[in-house]
Amino acid sequence: MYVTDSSPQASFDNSLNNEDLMISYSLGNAEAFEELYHRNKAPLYRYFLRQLNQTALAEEFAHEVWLRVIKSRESYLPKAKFTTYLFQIAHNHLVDHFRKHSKIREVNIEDNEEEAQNLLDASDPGAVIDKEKCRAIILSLIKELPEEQKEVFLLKEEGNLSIEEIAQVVNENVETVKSRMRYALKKLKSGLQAFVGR
Amino acid sequence: MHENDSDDIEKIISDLYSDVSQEKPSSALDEKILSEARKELQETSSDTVQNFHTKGSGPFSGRWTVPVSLAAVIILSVTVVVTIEKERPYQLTSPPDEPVMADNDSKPDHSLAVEPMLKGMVEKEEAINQKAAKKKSKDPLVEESIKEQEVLALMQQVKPEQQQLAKKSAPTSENKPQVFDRQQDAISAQDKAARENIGSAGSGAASGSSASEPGMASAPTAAKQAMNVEEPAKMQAKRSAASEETAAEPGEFTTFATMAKPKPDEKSDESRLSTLTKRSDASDVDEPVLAEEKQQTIRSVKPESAAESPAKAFIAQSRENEIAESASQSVCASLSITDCLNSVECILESGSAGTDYQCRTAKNQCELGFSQVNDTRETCELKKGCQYKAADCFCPPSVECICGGGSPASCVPE
Repeated sequence: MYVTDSSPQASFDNSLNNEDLMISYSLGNAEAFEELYHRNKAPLYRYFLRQLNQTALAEEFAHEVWLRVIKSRESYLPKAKFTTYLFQIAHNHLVDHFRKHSKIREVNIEDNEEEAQNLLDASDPGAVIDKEKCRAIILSLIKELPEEQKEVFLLKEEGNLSIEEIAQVVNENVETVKSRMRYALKKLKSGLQAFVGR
Repeated sequence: MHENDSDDIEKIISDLYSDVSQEKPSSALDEKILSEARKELQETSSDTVQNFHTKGSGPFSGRWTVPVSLAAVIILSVTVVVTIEKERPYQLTSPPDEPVMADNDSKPDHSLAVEPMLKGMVEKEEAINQKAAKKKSKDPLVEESIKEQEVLALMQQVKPEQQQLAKKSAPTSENKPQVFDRQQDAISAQDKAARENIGSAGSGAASGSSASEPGMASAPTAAKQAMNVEEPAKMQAKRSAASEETAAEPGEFTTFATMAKPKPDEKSDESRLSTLTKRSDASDVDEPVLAEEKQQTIRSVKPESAAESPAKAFIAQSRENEIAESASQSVCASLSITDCLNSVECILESGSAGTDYQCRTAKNQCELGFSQVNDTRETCELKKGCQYKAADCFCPPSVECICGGGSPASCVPE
């Protein structure tokens, strides 16, 4: 337990939302940050993992994002959801990374496509698709999505953000975000139908 | 239907994705991040404590900054207010009023010792004038002549005493001989004029009543011109100084008090003036006596030195002013409207009709030197006690007056 002189409360309440936990941490409550971190570490990690396709890189990016959150704790203001705030930072990191390393990204996509193809080839068309295979298929289909559509899909699924919040994170209008989401689902559906149809 | 299908598809895909997405960061990453979060808190708290201690070394630190600042402001403001209140009585004390510049018609500045004497003289003169006015016509020239006669009579009363005084007193002050010399010249000239008029007036001037004596009208003019009394006040002051030095001068300031008892112990002017006052108060009783004295004065005029009479000087001064004024009035009256406006000695003013303009002499210091056409408000108000009065529907000549006419601009006393 790390309790500072200026902490307004000794322990946190599990019913607190992410915003309250962040505020509590900004006031000096370390346990509030722990709870906050445990609630949001996996979605953020997977967000990076799905787009970077590298665990080490995903962890590195996650670490950088959380470090940013820690450093800005005193200036944090609950103007929006904490997840919006968190994924906003993550999106910006990702964009900067893709601008610098566009070639690496292309290579990763090719590897994933090959892996997915292997899974499809190895699968028995008549057999029941097990979970592992389903997971692989979906992941492969997600990987094949265009970056914009993928990001929108991931922000929706991992960050649990609304269309409006996604628009705010990616700095696009709502209609654009809706369109990207529609196309992403369409592709995923067609891919799954194609897979199931075999 | 279509939308429901899409929603269903979205839900199915979402469920599928949530089932397959189980990846988590490593525990090492978790520990790393959590440790950094704690470290951040520790560093921040230590900085806060350190800042508190470093800033808290003085009174203007930490949480005491605002209260101490407020206290300092309050103390300063109270000090300033108290200081201002203390200085206020002195600030409120206005500088002594500057003396107003005297007009031409104002009385000359007499010394304190001479003022009562003058008052007595003037009162006596006024009493005489009133009685004279009752008995005779209202001709101003006649009145002047009567005054002159009275003055001459008074002078004759003083002459014997002053002769004695001149013999007794030694010129202890520098101014004394000048005073007497001047007086001698004035009186001698007056006597000369009186002698001349006596011959022309004949026995009429010898009447005891204050009948009109036109023959004597010219005497005041001549006497006045001959006297040449510029500043009666200064002369009276010199006279008072001389009187103080020469103690044994009981009759010096009792010029008109021929019936007053001489008081050798009266050395001050005030005591002598009191005597004079008594004399002036008894003017009703003494009038016949004065008439007789006038006769004596006219018959036996002696060009002897006499103590200057304040009344005579005052009368002479006022008559000089009247003469000058009348002369200037005639000059101003002869000016055209344009010339009068341009003149700095004449003032154009409108009559009751509005366009009946009259040009007169400037009466006071504000009007004197102010040109109603060329000078401005600033020129007028530069003079102390003067106020600029703008033109009120003034219609210059050769201009059709549609507003009824009014006074031109002028500079008047406040």
